[in-house]
Amino acid sequence: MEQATTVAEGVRAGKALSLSKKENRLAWMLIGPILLYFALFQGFPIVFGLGIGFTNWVGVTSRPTFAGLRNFVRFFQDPIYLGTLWNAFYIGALVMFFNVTIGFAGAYLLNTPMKGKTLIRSIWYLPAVTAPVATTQIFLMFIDPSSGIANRALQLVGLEPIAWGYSTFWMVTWIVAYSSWRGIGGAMILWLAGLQSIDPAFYEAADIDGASGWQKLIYVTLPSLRNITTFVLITGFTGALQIFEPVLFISQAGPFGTTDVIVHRVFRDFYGDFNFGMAGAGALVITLIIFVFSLTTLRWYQVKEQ
Amino acid sequence: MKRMLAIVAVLAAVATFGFAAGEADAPAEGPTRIRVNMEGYAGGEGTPEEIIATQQARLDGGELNANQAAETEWRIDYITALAEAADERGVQWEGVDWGWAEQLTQRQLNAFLAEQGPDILVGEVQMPGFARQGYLEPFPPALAAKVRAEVVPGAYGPMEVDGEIYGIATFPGVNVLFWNKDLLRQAGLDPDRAPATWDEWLDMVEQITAAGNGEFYGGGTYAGPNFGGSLRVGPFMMMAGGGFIDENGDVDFANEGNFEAFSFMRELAKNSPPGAVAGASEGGWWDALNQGRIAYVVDGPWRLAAGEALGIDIGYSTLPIPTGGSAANVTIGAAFYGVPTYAENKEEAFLFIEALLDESVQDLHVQAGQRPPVLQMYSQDADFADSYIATFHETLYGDVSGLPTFKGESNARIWDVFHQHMAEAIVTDGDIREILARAQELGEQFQGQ
Amino acid sequence: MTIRKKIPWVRYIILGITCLIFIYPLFYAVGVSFMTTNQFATTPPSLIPFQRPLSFFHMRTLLLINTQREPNMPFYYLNSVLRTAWYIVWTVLISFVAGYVFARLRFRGKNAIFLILLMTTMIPPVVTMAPTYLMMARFPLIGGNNILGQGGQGFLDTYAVLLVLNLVNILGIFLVRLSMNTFPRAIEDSGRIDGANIFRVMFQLVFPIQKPILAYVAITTGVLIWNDWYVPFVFTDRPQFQTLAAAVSRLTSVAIGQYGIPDWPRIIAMGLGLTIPSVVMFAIFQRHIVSGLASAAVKG
Repeated sequence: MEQATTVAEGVRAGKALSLSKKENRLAWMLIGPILLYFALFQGFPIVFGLGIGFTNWVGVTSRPTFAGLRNFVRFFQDPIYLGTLWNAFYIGALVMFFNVTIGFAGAYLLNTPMKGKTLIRSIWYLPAVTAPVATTQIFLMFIDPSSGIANRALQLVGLEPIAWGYSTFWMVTWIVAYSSWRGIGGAMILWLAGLQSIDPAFYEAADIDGASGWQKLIYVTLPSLRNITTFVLITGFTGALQIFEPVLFISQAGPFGTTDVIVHRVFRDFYGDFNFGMAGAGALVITLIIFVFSLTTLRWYQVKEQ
Repeated sequence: MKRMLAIVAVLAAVATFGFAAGEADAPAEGPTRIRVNMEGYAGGEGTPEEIIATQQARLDGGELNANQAAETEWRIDYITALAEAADERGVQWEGVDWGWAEQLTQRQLNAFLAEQGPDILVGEVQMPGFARQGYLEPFPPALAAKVRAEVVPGAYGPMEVDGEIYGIATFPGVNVLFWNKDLLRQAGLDPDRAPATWDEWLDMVEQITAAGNGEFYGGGTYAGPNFGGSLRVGPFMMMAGGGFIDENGDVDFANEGNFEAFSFMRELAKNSPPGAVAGASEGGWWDALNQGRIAYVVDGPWRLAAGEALGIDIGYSTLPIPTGGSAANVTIGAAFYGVPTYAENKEEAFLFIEALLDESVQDLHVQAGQRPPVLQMYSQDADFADSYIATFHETLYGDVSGLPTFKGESNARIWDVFHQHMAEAIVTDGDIREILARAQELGEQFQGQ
Repeated sequence: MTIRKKIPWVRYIILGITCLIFIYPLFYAVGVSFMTTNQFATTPPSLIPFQRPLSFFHMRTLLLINTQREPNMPFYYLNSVLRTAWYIVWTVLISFVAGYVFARLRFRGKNAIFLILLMTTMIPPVVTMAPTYLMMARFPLIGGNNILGQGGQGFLDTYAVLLVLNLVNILGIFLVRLSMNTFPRAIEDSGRIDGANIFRVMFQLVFPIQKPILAYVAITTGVLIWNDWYVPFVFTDRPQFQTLAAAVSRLTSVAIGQYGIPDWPRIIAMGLGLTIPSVVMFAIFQRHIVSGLASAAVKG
């Protein structure tokens, strides 16, 4: 602890001094090639991809022309784009809610010495390492109206089969189910890492004060998890707003377009209509929303910290 | 941990060789070999020799059932004939398999973007759009004249834009009605009776559903929110005098013909297992047929063989016609071959298309009996007239179209709108006219953009 | 606390049921992969999806005993393994070096650069699909292209294209930096005083201590690349250049395609071939995932 303080002071003091030229050169020597590669192979396509949102560019063989904010005006006047944005929001919120809460519950239950802990933890996380292209096919097979076991199971308990594909409620349910199946493990691991980093001394102190289990959860555990909460919220939201593969592979935006999400719309604009302008605009809107959310969350984190 | 690190490092080093090798592996010099984008029924990957070797290896593996073995043998014959026909025209070629549907379309878009790729592209619903957007090369006059003189109109009609031919399907499908004879028998119907009108058909469908008592249903057609749905619902819209666009090429969804067709489709949909008619994937519908749970389906010519492979006794006929309507059809499973404008070897590419129309190659389609040939000469052949695929060949002379490409810059969006509203009109209880009006409004809005 | 201490069996039941839910789809997939296409297509579904007789046809393909149906299967495995290893090595190396530099060295523009890098992680990947393709096709002086990027096919359909994209993992850099922040400088300072240059400090002193977080980066990268179907599928044509994931995605398109009947057993079996190795990889290294993250998260 003391060590950290001196380092921090050193850094603060260092700001007043001029940068060491040697250190500067050394840093750039190490990181320069990496940044150069990044700028070329990863940065350039991003800038290119976002820039085309300001162009009128339809069709692969045509040349782009500058369009200013026209695409964005169209985006916010079009009920379908706004609908996809809303769909992404509420489907994403549901996925995030289940991932975060069930993930936390799992981590909380697993964060004590118990037999088979490693095995259970592994099974929870297992879906996260599977390939979406393969596992969405399994879910698709489940809800197949003829050979799917979802309806089979209903029939076994004496219920009428359900036309999953005709109901917005059920399609959203299945997309959320798949996304949570694959996402809960990741959230659980993050929470577990956070829980394990809490100093046991805090709990001992709470025990001495005679705190109950719930009190300890609310007054010791949760406040100590602020770091990890910020991380879980930001990565969770970023991922949830970009739900795409389950929609592409399982619902294909159905039924009747009610599960169309914004990234799927962008993808359709790109590869369906070759409308790079609108796709770029849509992508930029998602990017801005994610930025605003992340900055707000970070801000909340900083305010609480003080 | 150490050993693991070492293994990973060694593997990464091996990958580096791949890096270098990929660079060194430049195309070999020699006679020009055109690259042909092919589909899975009558194509393959690599040079003809390689395709044949792959198929031969499958055959020698001994894991194939009788059907698969027959298909594989046929594929070898077909590729051999095609290679010979191309050789006679001095064309060397190799096949490229890019899959089908969405993923194929994406890769073709990428090829147009980069202005490089195979010298011949193949595809279904996206190809007329490519033609209209100017990505494809029109057939040279000599070939176009030959095609018009010798080929049934339905094979190239959907690829005609402003009097030029941009592509041709050399073994196209059209929709016909198939049924499971066993289920008709169980419902006390004559298993060979082909319904002539919509009313007659609906009546039979309802009888079968009643007899099935939840175990099996009358069926009808798949109508999911995708091209698999519109390709099969399209003929019914056109038969009733409706369609997708008006004579000016403008969006035209909210018309009386479509209302009539969708009302009829809705009645059919009530006679199907829950969720099967408009699922996102066609799979559920075909599984229902395979499991003996639906009697009628609408599909292309391959369905007979697919059904027989599973031991289903299948009957077939042309599609029933509505009272006051006339026969019409939409090509399905048609692999249109076209030459992209970026192609470096256009001359050879068109010669290859000529080879696809060579008699020796077309004869093999007759022999396989799964897809109709497209040369008009077969109409005069008495032996051919009795065959299964003659039904399809005959239909290709009639009122056959492909799905249209919409005006403006938002073709795919308008299709998304149509598909979603089509499924909604057919499987929900909403007011069909109101649903069609909504589709029309959105369609017009996007068409104007 | 009450639940956890007093009635531990409740916890076991809850966790046991959830484990069943998590594992069931994979269990079902295993069952389907032991069916033939016709068996699957003609029999009503069962919750325990094992049918007699078991068909080992797809399993034999997966284990490379009989690859008649998928003659390029060995290439798929080989390319997947090589590509994954390549990405693990470079991503770990880059994350470590860059994370260390950002945590320890002061240089001009450091905070601005780091912020920009972090911001790029928020860009939805769909943005870069077409631009990346154009860049690969028109990359100057590669694959027959001239200095303006014209005339050849660039990186398209080369083995190199499987290896050049997205080597920098910003999240990896971020995590290493976080982890370094909790790691006292004293050790390095003592190393410096002993006269070791920065490379010796980095690789001999710091690297071993940062292993948990680097293992985490390695595993996540490995799984990501192993599961990636997009790059091989879109950028290469030759079957010899495909990876297993690309082969599966191609199969879902080909096997459903125009004939309408998804060949579920074949698709699912190939999907299992893709899934099992990443599961095994995870099983071997899973303890690093928790400890690695914990090391970055502690008072981060």
